[in-house]
Amino acid sequence: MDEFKQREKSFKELGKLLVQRHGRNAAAQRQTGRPVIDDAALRLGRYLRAARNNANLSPQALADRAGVSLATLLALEQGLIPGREVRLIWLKKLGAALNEDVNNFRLLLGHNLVKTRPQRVLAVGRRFRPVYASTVAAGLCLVLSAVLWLYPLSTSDPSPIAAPTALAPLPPTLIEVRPEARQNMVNAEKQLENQIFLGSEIVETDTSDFPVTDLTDLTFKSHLLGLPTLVDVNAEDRLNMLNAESRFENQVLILRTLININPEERLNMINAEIKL
Amino acid sequence: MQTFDREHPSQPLLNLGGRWPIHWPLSPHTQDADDETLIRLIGEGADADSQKALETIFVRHHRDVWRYVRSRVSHSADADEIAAAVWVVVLEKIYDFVWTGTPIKAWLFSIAHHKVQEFFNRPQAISFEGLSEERDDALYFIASQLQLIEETAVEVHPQVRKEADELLHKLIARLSEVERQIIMLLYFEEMESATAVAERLGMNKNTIRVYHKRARDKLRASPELGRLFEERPDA
Repeated sequence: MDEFKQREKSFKELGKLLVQRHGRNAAAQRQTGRPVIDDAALRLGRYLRAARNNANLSPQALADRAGVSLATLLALEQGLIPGREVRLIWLKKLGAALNEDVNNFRLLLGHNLVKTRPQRVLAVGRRFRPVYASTVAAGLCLVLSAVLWLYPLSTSDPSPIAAPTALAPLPPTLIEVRPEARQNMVNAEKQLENQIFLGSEIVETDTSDFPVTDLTDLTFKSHLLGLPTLVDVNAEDRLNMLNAESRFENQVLILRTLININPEERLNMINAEIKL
Repeated sequence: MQTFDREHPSQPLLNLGGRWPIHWPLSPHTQDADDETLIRLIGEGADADSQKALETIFVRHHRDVWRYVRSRVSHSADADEIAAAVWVVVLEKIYDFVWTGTPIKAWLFSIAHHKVQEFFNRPQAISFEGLSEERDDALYFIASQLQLIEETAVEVHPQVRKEADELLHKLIARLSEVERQIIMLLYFEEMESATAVAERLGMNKNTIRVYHKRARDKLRASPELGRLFEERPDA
């Protein structure tokens, strides 16, 4: 932009400022009979002009250096812009260009330079007063403590009374059994089909299908299972039991410890097993 | 050195090249109005009409005013400053303008002429050997404003005041921040009470008194104002 256009633009801006000031003057003229006199603006203008002249700068040079328009600078120097309408950004730019403290300009505009405690600035850039910051911190502490108190309740077992350790079921262990031993066990099972043992006495015998050759096997079986007595089971239940047993082919389920159970309890257990 | 040689009046009239007049948005009934109508609108018209009338005067004449000033000063930067000052005077005096048939342009040129005279009548550069009368006036004005001497401050010529402002700006550059602010309040706002200064600066009034005394001592010891006290040992 050449100098002519720059000057035209500057005077156009200055004309607008003059007309605005004239509007205020006209209103004051009707009310008080004299135009507005803004002492703060005049003081700032005097100081700006003195600082500029001492810096040996022309208005255009200072305007270029500070980054404000020439019309704005001339209007500030002549006191055309009322003190309350002077923008802080202009003062900052002019202060930087003239190496002046902005507070000097603010003082001339009538501002109080009351030194206040430094305000805490959050990361988001907003300013909070300390009382607000402490309130927010107290609220956060309350929420955090409530969460810490409620979290264990939400994740714990709904039945807080745990089973006694002595009554806890022991995990079964499967061990390898040789085929011959397994065959013996199956044979022993066949002998017990549709029969029940009460101790070593055979209450009901039906051994027509298979010969009982070795009663020691049966005794072993009875001892192994901890069954002092055998009760009658029907054919379907027995078949189910055999099917279940076949799943453990070549294997045998033993308990780590054998415990003594009275016959009534054992009977109940077997009945429960049958239902399954 | 001429900053804008091609704009000097000796050159053929700024090489406007048909860009004049400027076509700004103007009120339809003020754009073609004569000077008498414009003056009447400014004094008696509604707010909008008054503003439009002044805008019309500015659009018509601001360039002539600038060229008139430019033809009398050597730098266009000075012409900018003086032309702006002319229009500030117009704002203040337009209500006192009485239409006598003389064009507004002549009135504007007379204001511009006075402003140019003020510009050339300002005191010359600092010379400690031979201070000019206006410079002495500026020094006495500063000393009386700051109550360094017993004499009360009197109203001075605008150019003397301008010179005093520049001189004071140089003097307070040697002071500390608080001292500088105290002196600025005393000089520009003509404050006299330590309580009022303390209120503005947010400090204790006794602290202000201490800083004020230090500032006065430093100013008295400065070469410029110290000259006054050498000449007036009783002060």
